[in-house]
Amino acid sequence: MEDEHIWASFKSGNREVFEQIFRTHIRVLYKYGNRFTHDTALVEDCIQDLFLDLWRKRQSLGTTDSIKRYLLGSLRRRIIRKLQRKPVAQAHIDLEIHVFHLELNAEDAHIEAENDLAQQRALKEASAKLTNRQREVIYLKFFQEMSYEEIASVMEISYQSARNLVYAALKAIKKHMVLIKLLFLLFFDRLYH
Amino acid sequence: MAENIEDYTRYQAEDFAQDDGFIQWVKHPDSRLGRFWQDWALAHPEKRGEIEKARKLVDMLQSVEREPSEAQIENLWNNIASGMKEDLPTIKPMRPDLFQSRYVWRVAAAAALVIGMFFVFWNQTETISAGFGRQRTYVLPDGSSVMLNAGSEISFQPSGWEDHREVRLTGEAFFEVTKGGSFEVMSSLGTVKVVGTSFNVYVREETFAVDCFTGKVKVDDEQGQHEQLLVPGKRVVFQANKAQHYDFDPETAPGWRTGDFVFEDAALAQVLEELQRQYDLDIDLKADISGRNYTGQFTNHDLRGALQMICLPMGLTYQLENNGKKVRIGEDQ
Repeated sequence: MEDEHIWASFKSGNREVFEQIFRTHIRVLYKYGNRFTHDTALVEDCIQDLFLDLWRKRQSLGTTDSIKRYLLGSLRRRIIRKLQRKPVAQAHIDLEIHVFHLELNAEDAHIEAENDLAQQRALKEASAKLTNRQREVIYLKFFQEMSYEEIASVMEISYQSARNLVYAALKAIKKHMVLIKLLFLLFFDRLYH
Repeated sequence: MAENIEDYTRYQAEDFAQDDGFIQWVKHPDSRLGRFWQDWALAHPEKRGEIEKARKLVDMLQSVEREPSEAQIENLWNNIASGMKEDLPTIKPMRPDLFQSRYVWRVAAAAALVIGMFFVFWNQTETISAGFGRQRTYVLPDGSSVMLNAGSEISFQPSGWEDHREVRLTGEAFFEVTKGGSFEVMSSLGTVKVVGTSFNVYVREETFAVDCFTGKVKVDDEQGQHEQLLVPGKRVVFQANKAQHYDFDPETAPGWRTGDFVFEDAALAQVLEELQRQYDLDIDLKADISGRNYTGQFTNHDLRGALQMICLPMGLTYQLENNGKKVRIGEDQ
């Protein structure tokens, strides 16, 4: 409800509300955008163009009940489109439609220094094993804490595909955790019992 | 929660970890859903192992993210705000010394408009797509035709088409190219160059495959270092930095264009994705299919038959729900 009002107010030409929308979502957009490419300037361009287009076309925009979802979806499409248009010679790594960077983090994982290197490596491998789509869906689910409906809408896939992707990704990560599982369980026994 | 009571006792770590309420519990233990899981965990000590594994998974899935600096944010906003001024002429220009007169602004705006329109029209990109559950044929400006498989998209620029025939593809398509200058199909995984011929291109996930039906086709992967020349009846598949060659009979080869989907030692995930695209189907997968390969075929006009063709040899079971819009696939116990 809240978002619908903010959106309507922006559509009617309220500049303060528009700036508020920008300031509320810029951090999330920036972080999400930079996961598709290492080219920060390109991401910034896309964000600027996105907001300028929103402002210019505000009267013809549809309604939305989630501004965050709307913005993430639009930015995603812009970045992918832009990355694809780049000549191959300039950026072949980032050219892949689905490239999505995601590092999993062992620091917050309740384990102290001891086997740090082994863990970091295992986590790195686990995230490398995922497909780009799986990494993206994991990012939206666990970092952005989005609902499956929201993920489906941002990534333009079905609700069930979003669920399946998350499930498959979790399963893959779990599988890879075997290496360090014993270690984890050992510490968890102490932490949670 | 009450309207949808799941049997959590059968959950594995990955099932817990994908449950919204469970994620809430790990991330925000004081929330309402959080308390539900707190109680549930206490009531089910036998699931402690799986729950801890699931907590671990959720916990691990966060990382330090690079935030934009305040200066970057201000900078972005200033750029946007100055762009917005273009349609608010009452606001004073920023640099009064140089751009004082309205006249200069008008000339600049008019010039920007003309240049902008030039780019808009010149670079206008046409996009043609076939959604799930449908295929579509499209005729390009020079009379070449493209048949798009379900879940595929092409884009191209109609202006100057005769000079550079370039199509960008995601998904899968069959091309029949009329004679003329070079014709290029670009994709995220590689490019195909031809003069006048018919060929099929498949670009999905990590697989890039090209089948040559007539004429000659030049194929290269995205690194541009593995150029291959294909003659009719030859197929090349790029996967994991390797190019594999196969033969097929262009006269009799069944294919997606006739509604036949043939797989030889293909990843089962790839097969199920094709099934999903052809029938616009929700697939609820309760089986571990990683590393499993399938050899066989199915058609796109008999869902039950297709499911049988895939599931039976793979030792899987299926259950259709929701008027054939959803299928549950599990291990045959």
